Amino acid sequence: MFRPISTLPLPASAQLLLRESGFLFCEDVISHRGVAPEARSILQRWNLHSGECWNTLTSPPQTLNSLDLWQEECTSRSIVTWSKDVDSILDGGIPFQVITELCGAPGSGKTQMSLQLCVDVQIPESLGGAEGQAVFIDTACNFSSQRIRAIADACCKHCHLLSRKNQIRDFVNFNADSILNNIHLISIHGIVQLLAAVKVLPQLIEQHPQIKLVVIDSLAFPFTCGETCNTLDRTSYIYRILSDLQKLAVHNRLAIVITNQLTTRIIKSTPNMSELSPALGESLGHRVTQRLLLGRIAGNLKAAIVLKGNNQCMSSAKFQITEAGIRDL
Amino acid sequence: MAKLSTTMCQVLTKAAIENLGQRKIYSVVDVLQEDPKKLASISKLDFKDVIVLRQTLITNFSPFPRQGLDAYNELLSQCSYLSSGIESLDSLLGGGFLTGKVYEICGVSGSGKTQLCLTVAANVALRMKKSVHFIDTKLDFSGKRIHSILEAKESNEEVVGSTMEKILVTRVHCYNELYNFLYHLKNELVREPGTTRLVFIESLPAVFFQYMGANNLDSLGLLNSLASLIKYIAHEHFVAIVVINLASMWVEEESASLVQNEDETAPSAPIIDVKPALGKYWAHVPNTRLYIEQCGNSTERKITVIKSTHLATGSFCKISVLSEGVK
Repeated sequence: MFRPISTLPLPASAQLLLRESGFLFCEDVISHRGVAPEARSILQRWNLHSGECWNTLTSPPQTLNSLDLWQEECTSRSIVTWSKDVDSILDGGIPFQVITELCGAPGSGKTQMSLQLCVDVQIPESLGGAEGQAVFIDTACNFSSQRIRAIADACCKHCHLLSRKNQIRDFVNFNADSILNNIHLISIHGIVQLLAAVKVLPQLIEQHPQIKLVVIDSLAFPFTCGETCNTLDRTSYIYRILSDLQKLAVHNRLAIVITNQLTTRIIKSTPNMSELSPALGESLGHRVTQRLLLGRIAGNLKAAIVLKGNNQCMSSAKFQITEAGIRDL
Repeated sequence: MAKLSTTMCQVLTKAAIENLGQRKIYSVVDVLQEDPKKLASISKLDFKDVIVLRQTLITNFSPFPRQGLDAYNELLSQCSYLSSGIESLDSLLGGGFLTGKVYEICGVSGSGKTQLCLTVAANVALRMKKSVHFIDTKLDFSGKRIHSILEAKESNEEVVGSTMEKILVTRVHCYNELYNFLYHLKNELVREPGTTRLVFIESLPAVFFQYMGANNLDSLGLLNSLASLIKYIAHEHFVAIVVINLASMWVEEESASLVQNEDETAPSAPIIDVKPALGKYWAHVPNTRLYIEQCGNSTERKITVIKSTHLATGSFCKISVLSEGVK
């Protein structure tokens, strides 16, 4: 069983040249005697001619055992939502390293929850927070500076009270201005800008290693307006975006939150029936690790239901949105 | 190695390989497809030597027929059923997951595919004392979940710990990492046979959907290589491979009417108005395809065999997803 060259991430032109010279399998190119001389002269152009290069190209990813993973999971903290009930159905809040999807009808609190998380991720470590920064990718012009200012003010007030009670000092730098400063806002219009924004993220994170949260509000909007693309292409774009984000999330221990709308789906088995389900198809639900459905019960009273999650069977919680942000009832 | 080299056959000289290369004859297949007389004139070898070369290549590279009885005896001696630890599923599968076969579990999102895999992984690791590989493409693996499943079964904390050490998780982000790991696993199995009997790939669409577009057919070739690789590992090293696939709902007018007809005439036939992802090509790859769906709003799930080489299609079983795992 040889390994075909096409399964390696080589440039297409390199693959073509190798194929034309009769190199179809990795085993033809590299053996215990090193890289074959003929292949070496072809690969020189891409600087891939050394044996070490081939070793890194074919080296397997790290394997961990589940005991280590469990211990890591147990010690890792999450971003609180500021509602104890919602935190408890999420097993402590929005976890790092995985993708969490918030979906809901208009007015169900998706953007409010995203804004709240951008503030909450900045809670200082001395108070059990992540003391990070946030990136807010705004696709539908939903970002509201006034709201975030109000949420930040309330958060600061609460944290300062706590710090005085517990006699924690060195708290000067934590104020509403600093919170706003630590949110990197990227406004984008259309699919192309969204794809580009995700590609630029690694650079931004390198410059600001404090970034611990990336929010896309909303992921569905660019795909539902204007630019036409078929379902297959749409799925491939979304999977590319999420795969890039996932890689970043694991590497830098980020939390990823995306928001999504609801759409009407026709049920085939029962004619003339339809139901509301998250937009962008079944494939998105498959890709995200956690899916939280938000809904409005009455006025400011909202509910959150875990539609998909690893640790909890379906469970729900109620919360409300006040002037100060997300709160328990 | 498929490219011609001087080590393959004594009569094959360096000059002959160069001569052949000038006429784009590089590999074993190229030689076997060419007319011997033509080969002799191109390579400047004796006709007799060309015949010797052909014979050597054929003996070294071709498979030989075996009797059905031998294959059956080998199945009895080498293969085994890995009990999933879930009674109803075991009886559906005729005893458990058969090593040497590729299984697919498909279902819509949130139908319990991951939960089922985590439970089976925990049960097999607990019972078999062999390592279980879990290839995680979208960070679905949860150590906490594995721990709570094992805790419900086994009170001894040490046994739980040592079982968890046997569940090996590899996170892959792209197709290349997936191949790297599988080839690495293959080499490891050659060195130490029998160390692994069960491999989960959770899930394939996460790796391949990004390369699937209207104008992008790369994914088909990649799926093809993957299919032959996992079949090779499963068959040669007696490993059961369980692949997770997504099923999505499609509303097509033709099939909508078809489903309704079936509904009236044959109510017992499994009616699935959802389609497993990755297309028609992949449908040929798994030996057994299981479809998992939610029954109503409860924790109950129904698993149906929709394609199989050794099980009756249409048969089904019911399981329930609970906080202590799948039962």
